Amino acid sequence: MSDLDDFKATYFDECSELLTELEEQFAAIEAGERDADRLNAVFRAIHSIKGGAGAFGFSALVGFAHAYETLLDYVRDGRIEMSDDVVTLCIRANDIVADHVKAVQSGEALPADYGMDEKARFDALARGDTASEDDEGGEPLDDFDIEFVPVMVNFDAVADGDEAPADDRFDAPPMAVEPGHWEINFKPHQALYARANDPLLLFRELAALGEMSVRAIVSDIPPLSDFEPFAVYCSWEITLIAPALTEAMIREVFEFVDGDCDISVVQLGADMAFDVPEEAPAARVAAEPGFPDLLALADDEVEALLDFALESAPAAEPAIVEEAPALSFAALAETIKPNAPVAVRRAPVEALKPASVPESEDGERRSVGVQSIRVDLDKVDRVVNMVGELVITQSMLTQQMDETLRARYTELVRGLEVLAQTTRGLQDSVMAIRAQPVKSVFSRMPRLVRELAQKTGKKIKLRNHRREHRNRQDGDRAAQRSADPYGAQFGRSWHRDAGPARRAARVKSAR
Amino acid sequence: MTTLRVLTVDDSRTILAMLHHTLSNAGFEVLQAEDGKQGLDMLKNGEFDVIITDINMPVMDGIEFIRHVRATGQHQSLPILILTTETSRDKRDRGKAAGGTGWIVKPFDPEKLISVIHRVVH
Repeated sequence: MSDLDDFKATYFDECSELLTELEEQFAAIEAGERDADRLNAVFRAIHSIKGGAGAFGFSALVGFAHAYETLLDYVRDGRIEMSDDVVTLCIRANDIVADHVKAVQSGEALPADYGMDEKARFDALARGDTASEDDEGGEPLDDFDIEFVPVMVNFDAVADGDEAPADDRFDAPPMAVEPGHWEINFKPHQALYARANDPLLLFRELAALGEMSVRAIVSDIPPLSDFEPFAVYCSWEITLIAPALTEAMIREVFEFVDGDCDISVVQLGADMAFDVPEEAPAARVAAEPGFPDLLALADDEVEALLDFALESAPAAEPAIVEEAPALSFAALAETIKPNAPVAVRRAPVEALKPASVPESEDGERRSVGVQSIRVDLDKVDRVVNMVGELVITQSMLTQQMDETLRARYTELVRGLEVLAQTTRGLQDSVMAIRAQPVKSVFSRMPRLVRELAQKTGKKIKLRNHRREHRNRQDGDRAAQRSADPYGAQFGRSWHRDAGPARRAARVKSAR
Repeated sequence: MTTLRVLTVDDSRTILAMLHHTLSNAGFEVLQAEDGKQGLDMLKNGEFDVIITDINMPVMDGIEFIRHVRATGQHQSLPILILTTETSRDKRDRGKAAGGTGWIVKPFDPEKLISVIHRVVH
């Protein structure tokens, strides 16, 4: 069995459980229990079915589940009332989802328009309440990217009185641009760091796109007496050169920090694109009196500068110092070296690890959350059969022991008694493993009764006593099959299999 | 080179299995949690290099989970990727506002998944 087949098997098992849960939830919803927890549970079930279906490319199932999920989202948000009509529609939708799952599992194709009527009703319901106020519910992300309009603001160029100020570039259409030469101005906000994004990682991504040079703008750094550890003082000018580079490729690097920084991406003109990478940074920084260019400093000079800053700063917790954006200067100086390791933030993570935790304990901790495994029924059945053979053999051995042998071989008798006891324990344990929750069998009954009531035109009330036994694991494969939702079989299995003391149920006709 | 430890949080066994398969094959050490609360418990007992979490989960959803993680001082620089089928800006922004570093839209392409992780991890 391939990995994909394994995943599909897991998915179909999960779908089976989720569809059963949907049955249960809607039985309660139909009875009037329409609280938020229940609606959220229903939403999550469809959401999970859709998520898995997407992974396997079950497009028809994804399409229907998405429309259904949207309706449920509106219901739980209160935008659509969970009226009886909507409940009935949802129950029908559950059937359609189940049919889609069954179809992809068996490889059979459903009609192309299967479920389209219900889907249209979802859309109509959603449109009726929300079209005027909210069109973003299912909008693809790309539709929002057009909100961003890049604006190049280069105050340095204006202040320097250059012949061709940077902001004039936008007003000079005749100037030819050089494909693949880009200038990026990037100023992070505090939120960028708060969400664990890091300019260094962005630069690493950019460096993979082409030849990059980075210039740190440190003119906003205040004197140490005014320095706020969590404030953001640094911005960067980045020049990136690669023949096939497009703005979309650059913007994709900044996808996660959109809104958490000021950024402009501008394609340089042909007459100003060259000479930028190596010489321009040093030349430009020279125009910023009072602030040394970290990129131009030798390693020991950078370290000396940082040592001075740390020594001069007020005493602070090591972890806080680590988080301070200002320290990223040092990391920046490291990252601009080709193939330099980036280890600035890794060290404290190691340091925070409790030293007293032994490795064996660590291994034990990793098992948290793994409380069950899934095993093929065939494998379990093989074990059940072998244990059955063992029980028979043990019984035969016991029967062979007549009084003469018992008197003569006392130790053997004791051994057989222990064997009998152990075999019984093993049999009980294996049967407990094989037992299946009967919940999935009986959770379908309310729905079966409801459909019977609709077909017969009678009001039927199903009363299920001893509800505390609904999870009792006393079923077997036959019990699973008995869940086949046919009325006659239901009637027989319900009354024949269920002992009156264990599962008393009564189908009562009101008329 | 140190093996990166990834905490995956999702109530879907299918997604957890696929993440585990993809990430394990890529050399990551993968641990799993089925909801946000279980994820927080695992975070208390281990160090991770990145978290991948679903949004819609029982017990504790992804948004609340991210908020709790960020509220813990030692995890403020821990990258958190939101794994969701939600494509609306509203849902994505909620995850981001809570402290999410980035996102992966299901169904995920294995190569894309690995590449996104490397985008946010040192």
